Amino acid sequence: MGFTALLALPLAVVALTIAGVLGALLARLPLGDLWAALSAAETLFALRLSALTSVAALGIALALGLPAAYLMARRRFPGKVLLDTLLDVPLVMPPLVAGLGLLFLLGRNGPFPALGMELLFSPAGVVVALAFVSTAVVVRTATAAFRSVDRGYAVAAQSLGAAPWAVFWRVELPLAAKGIAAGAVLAWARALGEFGATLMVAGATRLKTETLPMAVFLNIATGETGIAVACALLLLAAALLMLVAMRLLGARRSERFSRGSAAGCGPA
Amino acid sequence: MRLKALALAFGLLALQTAAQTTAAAAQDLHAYVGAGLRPPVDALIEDFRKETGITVTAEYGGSGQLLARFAETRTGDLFIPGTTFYTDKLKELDAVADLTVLVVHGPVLAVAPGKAEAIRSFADLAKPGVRVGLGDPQAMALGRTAEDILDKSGQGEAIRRNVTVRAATVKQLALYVLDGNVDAAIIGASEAAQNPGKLSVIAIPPDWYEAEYAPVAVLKTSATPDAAKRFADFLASDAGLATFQRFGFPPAPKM
Repeated sequence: MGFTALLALPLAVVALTIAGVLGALLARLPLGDLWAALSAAETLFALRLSALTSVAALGIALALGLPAAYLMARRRFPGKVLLDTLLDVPLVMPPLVAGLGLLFLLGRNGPFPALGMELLFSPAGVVVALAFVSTAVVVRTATAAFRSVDRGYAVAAQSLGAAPWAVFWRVELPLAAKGIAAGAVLAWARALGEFGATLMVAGATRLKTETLPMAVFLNIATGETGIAVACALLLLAAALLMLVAMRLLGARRSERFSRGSAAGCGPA
Repeated sequence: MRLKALALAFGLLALQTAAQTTAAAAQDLHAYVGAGLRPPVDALIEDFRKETGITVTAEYGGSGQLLARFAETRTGDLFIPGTTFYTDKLKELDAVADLTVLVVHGPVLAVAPGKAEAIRSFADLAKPGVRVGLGDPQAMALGRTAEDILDKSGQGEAIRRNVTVRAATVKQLALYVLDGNVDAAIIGASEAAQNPGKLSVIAIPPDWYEAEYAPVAVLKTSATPDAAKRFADFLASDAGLATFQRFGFPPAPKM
């Protein structure tokens, strides 16, 4: 009795704090004001921009991250350990620092000023910032997902005459799909909430590079608490949806051979 | 038995920590400071510590951001924004115990390295293809001033079409123009003064804008109003104003 009660206290503190944060955000606005703020042009713009840029970033992250992850999981080559560490850097790098680095890389003094001038301070720049962060998440999680697939299946497919790309597409990818999907959800969540890198690379221009987190920041700065809270709640709703998705991906036990739940939710 | 001893030890420790924090609080001030004022204020905080032993912790950011932070937390000793606009807002919140206007926070048009040929006057900002950077009008002091300037210039429409980016703090904006990522930006005269020889500076006609003054407000929330007032007086002293001047902020005319 004593022991469990003692452990229950910290658990209660953690749970109540989280519930308190959610409650405080929800209780901030009267319903009428919330509705007005949710339907404000600025909120809708931010919602649309966030949806478009985060999906585009996820597309880039999957297109680049999946092949990279497959190579990291299935091939040996010199310098791999070093490369493995390098690929993790964006995961541990503060987003603001990543943004500063991207700004210097793409800026007029960087190696590609012409391309940079097209990307900087534009919605395309937002996509670059988000993709930088979410690609690392895809690489990390998909590598773990590929590694968790028994190599025997690939070997069997090969011995039955399947070409390498067929082994990848028809055997390895479907078997790792669930872990990859869980990683993709994580990567999308990171892209949706990204703020620091966006601020440096794309700037804080209202109704141009104003993603949901940017809208929260700008409107807190200007005392428009309504729009800030509305955008915060939209981000929260998206985050809760993703939690549900992660649960579903982790909980389905339909395939018997890949029993791993959401594979490799690395240091996200 | 051992538990009792432990509890006692913890209790003593807690008491001691509490005592220490109150002692420390008496000698530690929290100041909200507009990001553009950082260089002189950092130097002055150091001078003040040497002179009095009182440490000042400064929280730097866009003035609007800081105002929102204060409105939410209602803690802190001093507020030093880029313009009196924000201390007027503080007065509406009935949070100002004492206000001193310090320095002029004047805007200039700064032109990026290598663009001085293309942009020689304010009117050149309206040329197609010129990339202009401004501050967000509500998030930072000079963002508001810049809007007035554009309106008065008679070419607001054309120039606004060339605005490629808005920044949340004047420091972010200065970084963009220094690196040439925008061709020109309206920044503080002080920013330009702190980067001599890098930017070319075009003066802005004084009748295009209301001169902005950076003030220091002692907050009613201060637990140590005497120490806070001491710091405010230190900033407004001749030595304090000379430091501001060194970083390109001329003293405000005596009211």
